[in-house]
Amino acid sequence: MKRKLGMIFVLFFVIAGLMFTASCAKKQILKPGTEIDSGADDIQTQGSTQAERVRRNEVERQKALEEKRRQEREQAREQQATAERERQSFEVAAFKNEKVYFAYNRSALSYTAREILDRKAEWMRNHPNVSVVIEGHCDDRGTNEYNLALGEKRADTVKTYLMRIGIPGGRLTTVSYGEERPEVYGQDESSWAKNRRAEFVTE
Amino acid sequence: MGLEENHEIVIDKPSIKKLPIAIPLFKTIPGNRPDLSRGASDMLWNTLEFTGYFKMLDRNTFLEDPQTFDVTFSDGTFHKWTRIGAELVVTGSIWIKDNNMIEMELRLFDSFKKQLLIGKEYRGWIKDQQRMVRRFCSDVIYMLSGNRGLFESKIAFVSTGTGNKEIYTCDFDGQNPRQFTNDKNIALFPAWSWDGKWLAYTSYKRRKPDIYIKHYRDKRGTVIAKKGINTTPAWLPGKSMLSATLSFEGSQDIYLLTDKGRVTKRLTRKWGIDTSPTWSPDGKKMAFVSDRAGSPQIYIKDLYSGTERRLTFDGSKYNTQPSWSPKGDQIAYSSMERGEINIRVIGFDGRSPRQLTYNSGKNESPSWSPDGSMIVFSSTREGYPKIYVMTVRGTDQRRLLSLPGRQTGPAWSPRAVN
Repeated sequence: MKRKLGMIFVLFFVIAGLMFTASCAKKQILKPGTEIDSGADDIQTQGSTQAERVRRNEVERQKALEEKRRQEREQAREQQATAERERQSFEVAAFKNEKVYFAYNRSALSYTAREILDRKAEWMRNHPNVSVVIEGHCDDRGTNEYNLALGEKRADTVKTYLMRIGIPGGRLTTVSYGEERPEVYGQDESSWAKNRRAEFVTE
Repeated sequence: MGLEENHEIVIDKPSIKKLPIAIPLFKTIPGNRPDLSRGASDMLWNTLEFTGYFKMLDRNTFLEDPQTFDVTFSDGTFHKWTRIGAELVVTGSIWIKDNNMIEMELRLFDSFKKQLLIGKEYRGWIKDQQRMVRRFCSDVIYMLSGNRGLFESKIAFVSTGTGNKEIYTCDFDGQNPRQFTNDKNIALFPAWSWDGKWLAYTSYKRRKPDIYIKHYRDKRGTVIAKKGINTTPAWLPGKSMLSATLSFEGSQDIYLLTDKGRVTKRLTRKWGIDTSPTWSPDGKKMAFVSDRAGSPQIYIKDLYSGTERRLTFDGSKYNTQPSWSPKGDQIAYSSMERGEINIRVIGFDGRSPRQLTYNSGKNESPSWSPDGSMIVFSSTREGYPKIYVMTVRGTDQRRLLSLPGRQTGPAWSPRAVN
């Protein structure tokens, strides 16, 4: 409570100070040099009107320039923010899009898989507020029953590895989809290989 | 062609020939109802033909006029039937009363022994004629084979017709298909309770695989939603308990639960995958799939002693989806080899293994009829997977019903579903 009162005092003084300096500035603009002496002869009057016009133009030119600069700064700031947002969503997309693949009927991680997971862990460390769902998937050979279990083994292996390199388990959930959500629908080795995967979904 | 000396027709042996049976059109009183005459007679024809026990004789060879001949055979004119090779004859007469009521008399005769085997009378609405016919057929099958329950049973299965995998049910012969779930996600592994009153299945309704137990009629029930996967429910015969694959303790194992979802016992313990349980009819043994030896194979666990022994040994094939016959003697399963999957049957002690499907794509998920005489399964022989049935001998394989989409994972109810 005392702190708040203190803050209000300071604010009061700051505002008063600002008002004071503002009014002072006004007074400066109305200095004698800009005033027209009503007693001066024609040429003198014309000359000072000319000078005044020039000065006024100069002030306006300066103002326009300042406004332009202000707008440019504003634009630059916005562009930077957009670029940052795009970069982040690109990163999130990259995070999601990069999957980990498995050998037939296996849930072990290959060297490549571990490299990919190292990168994912790095990203997760830089985004400590993000939680991730790890989905385990299988190709459609084998039964739905067995593949649901195998998909979970795959998701679990990924989670265990990420935890081992420091990602807290509380940020990781696993779910198995077995063969129920294939990425591609082919009956050939390359299609099957694309379906034996773990996917990452950010929450 | 005649009957053997022991005066018994036993049609349950694998090598037996089909019994030639004649089913003429039914007599109607008054006589101007060909729709009923043909309709009820065809219903009976289709129901008996479904079992695969009979050779259905062509009506065009019959020598009697269905409206005029003596359906009670009090005149003893069996020779008109034995002459065309009929060993069995079914006759029917329907009295049509006012306001849509009927009285139906159905009789089964052994034409060579000139004997009435079954005679029944039914009364009810015209719309109940299918139930009357099915009840009579149940009596026929029971008398000839000692088996009960086929015609009152239902089949549950998974279909993608709506765009999502949902659970459906239909009658034993594929009629009256109905959508049971509407979760608009993924529904799998339907399983009937032993009294036919509850269906258990896995659904991703809450974005992970949980087991739902729903009453067949009013849909009330329970959810088993432990951490990890909750799959492959299998009800314990005669009890309100089921086994299922759960992984909440870190690996995929089979557990025993109450029908309210409380875990009572962990049944398997190995670090690999154990799944797909099926119970012997006495509830003392459980067959299941395990990859503990490197590839998925079928094992049998004795619940009393706790021992587990391996049933299938061919490591070059994946042997999965076991289903224990309600008769207790055999286990059907699917065997995968190089792109083809086939249904095989083996004695629970490992004896007499045989293959029932050949060169017909992927044949999976076998499930037994409640009387152990037939097997329902899914097959891709026509392209998309559809539901098929066959006799336990592997004969009479045909598609059970036509629905849009893919139909998989059929489960035959253990007995009459009301």
